[in-house]
Amino acid sequence: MKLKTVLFGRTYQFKNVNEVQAKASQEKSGDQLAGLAASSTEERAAAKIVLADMLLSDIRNNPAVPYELDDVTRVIQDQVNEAVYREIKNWTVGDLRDFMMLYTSTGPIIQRIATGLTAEMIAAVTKIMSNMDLVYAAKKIDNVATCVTTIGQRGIAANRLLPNHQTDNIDGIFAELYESLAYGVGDAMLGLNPVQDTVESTTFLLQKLYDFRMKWEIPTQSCVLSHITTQMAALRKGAPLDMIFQSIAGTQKANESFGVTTTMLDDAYDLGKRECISGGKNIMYFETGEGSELSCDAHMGVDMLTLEARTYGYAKRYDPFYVMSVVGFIGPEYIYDSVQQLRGGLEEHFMGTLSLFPMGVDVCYTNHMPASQNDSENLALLLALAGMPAFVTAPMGDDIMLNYQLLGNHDWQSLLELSGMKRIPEFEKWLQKMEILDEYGMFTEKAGDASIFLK
Amino acid sequence: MINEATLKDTIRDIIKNVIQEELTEAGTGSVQNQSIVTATADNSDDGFVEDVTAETMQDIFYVPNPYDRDGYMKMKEFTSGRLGIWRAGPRPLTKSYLRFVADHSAAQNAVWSDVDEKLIDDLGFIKLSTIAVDKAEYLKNPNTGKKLTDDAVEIVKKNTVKNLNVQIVFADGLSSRAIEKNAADFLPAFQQGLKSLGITYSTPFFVANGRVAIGDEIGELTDADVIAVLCGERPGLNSTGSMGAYITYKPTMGMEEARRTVISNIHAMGTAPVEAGAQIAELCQTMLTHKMSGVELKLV
Repeated sequence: MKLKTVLFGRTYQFKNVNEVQAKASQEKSGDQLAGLAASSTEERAAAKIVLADMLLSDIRNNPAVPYELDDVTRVIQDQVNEAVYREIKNWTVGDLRDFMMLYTSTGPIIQRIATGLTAEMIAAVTKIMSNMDLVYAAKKIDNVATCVTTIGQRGIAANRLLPNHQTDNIDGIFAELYESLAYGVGDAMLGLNPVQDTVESTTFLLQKLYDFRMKWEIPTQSCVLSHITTQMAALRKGAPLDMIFQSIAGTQKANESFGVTTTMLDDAYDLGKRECISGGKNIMYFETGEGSELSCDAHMGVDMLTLEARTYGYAKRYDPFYVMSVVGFIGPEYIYDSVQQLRGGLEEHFMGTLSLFPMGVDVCYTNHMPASQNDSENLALLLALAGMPAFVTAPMGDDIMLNYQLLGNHDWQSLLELSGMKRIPEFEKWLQKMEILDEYGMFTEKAGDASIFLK
Repeated sequence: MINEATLKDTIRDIIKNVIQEELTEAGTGSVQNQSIVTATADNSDDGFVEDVTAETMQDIFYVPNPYDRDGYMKMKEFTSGRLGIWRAGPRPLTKSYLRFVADHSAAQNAVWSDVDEKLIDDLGFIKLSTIAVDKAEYLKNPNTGKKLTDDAVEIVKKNTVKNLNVQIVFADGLSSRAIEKNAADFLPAFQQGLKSLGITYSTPFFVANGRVAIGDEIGELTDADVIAVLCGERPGLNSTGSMGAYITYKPTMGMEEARRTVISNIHAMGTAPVEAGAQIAELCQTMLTHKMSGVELKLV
């Protein structure tokens, strides 16, 4: 394995694969905070050059965290399709990038090769791709999954509504929910982040969402994002769950700090397949974010992008309905500004797509990041162009409970019109029945009037 | 793709909305600033453009022809979310968009500005600095906001009162505005409360570019029984000046977060600063009695 190169007469020597991976990564404040980032742009370029020349087998044989120490590594390594891997193990990372760009490498052909990749290989190739490369490659691939409705089909983009409230006030939650539905939002899911993490509260909120959906015959799915153990207890008591949510990360230690183990996720998956009311084949939903491992001191000396790819490799075990990364949510100490937010969003969508499930990005920032709604709109336009299947919006982009800014409900219709993407067909038909959309999928004069749900 | 018929519909929709909106506004008799077109000199002053931040989110309502206006207004009472804001085509109305821009500018300014020096002097705070060289470093590397400069360490040592019950510390945290808005009301109430309970305290420190954990270093240096850190919280669009109180019995550097007792959301629309001052004074007494804080204290 070659770990050094010469650039403009200067030698760059790296210690191991992890150092090459970390230093090849685009600049992110989190990697600088962890002391892992390249110290100059030249060193970063040198690391990319060394990484591009590395064999896929070198990366497979040197996982970011040792197999014996970490069950995320074990999950990723054990689910590799060995036949496909044998075919590509002598490719370099650069070969993999070039392969994905070829006209002959269509979506299904890339998806087949992806079954032979580990998360670390996906992270590596991402680091030698430009922003447009990431959009171009991701656009080729359709990963389809079904809960109540089906997400990820070509030309279809779905959106989650986010009716969060500071005190879980049910009237406040439903006010936000009506508002978002009136803007044609909600086909990915009605997804509530609760404040209270109790079985009683989770059950109550799930029942309310379910009753509302039944009353109005809305073809979508709902989720209350309490801890997985809370949701499992609610499900065992007969609460109407369509899917099971959990935040996950890229090392065993980080997952443990979230109160999550592989055994627990396996149990939840089995329980969900038997008891989730959706009856779908994809009943898990995960959220992730670069920096979560570092924030709980569990990054094991690995860069954020590699850990994020490992998180997706771990998620893949459970055939999720979709996975969503919250790119600008974790804070400026991990993703500093709009440049890093934009890059991170494109990387995450591409890496999730290559992990073979529908991948969404919560295009967002906190108010202590040097970023604005303009930056989020830029990233959203690029992700729509990349064919991202799952978005999330709130009224005017303000989450009043979590205190961060995401895309606004208005952005959703605008993005669909601009990109030519369509909502999930059943949901679009329902919006037409409600006279929120016309036959072309454009707003009618009723769109934006939440009081139509007060009937 | 937009075909001609759709485009016509859209344009018709826009025109209709504009007309309806004008009718609605005329009907409800809302006060509008008249924009009078006159051929006056460039330096003429025709008064103020309306203050877009004057109305609360609950009062704002732009839907021109709602199915149930009263029901909508009732619904809005339950949330501070931006509801009933209507649209121009699929995009937000100018006034909703600019309100967002204004609120976001205030939220960012709360983070990136420094606390007014005059306020620090007026309240008699002793000013300290952390090793963060500027806001950018402070935000990128939170650890720099948890360590005092060598000079600041000396200032703390020089101003330490022996056998003190409570050392008060203000820190800008993620909102300088939180300190500017709340410190002057909070402090007298807090000090009065402590005095009436027979608890000793000394002149507050103010730490610029300081995070919550800066109280741990000050705790070790002063050896006060209780450290009360009043810190600016991460601003939201609707609350840019919210202060949090983090109170700890004998804090030490690197201790578990669970040892802090937290009272958040201190501002005019949340827990009023005067009320919080009295409440936290009592909390200090409980900590002094039980010699503990945080999760442990909850279990007592």
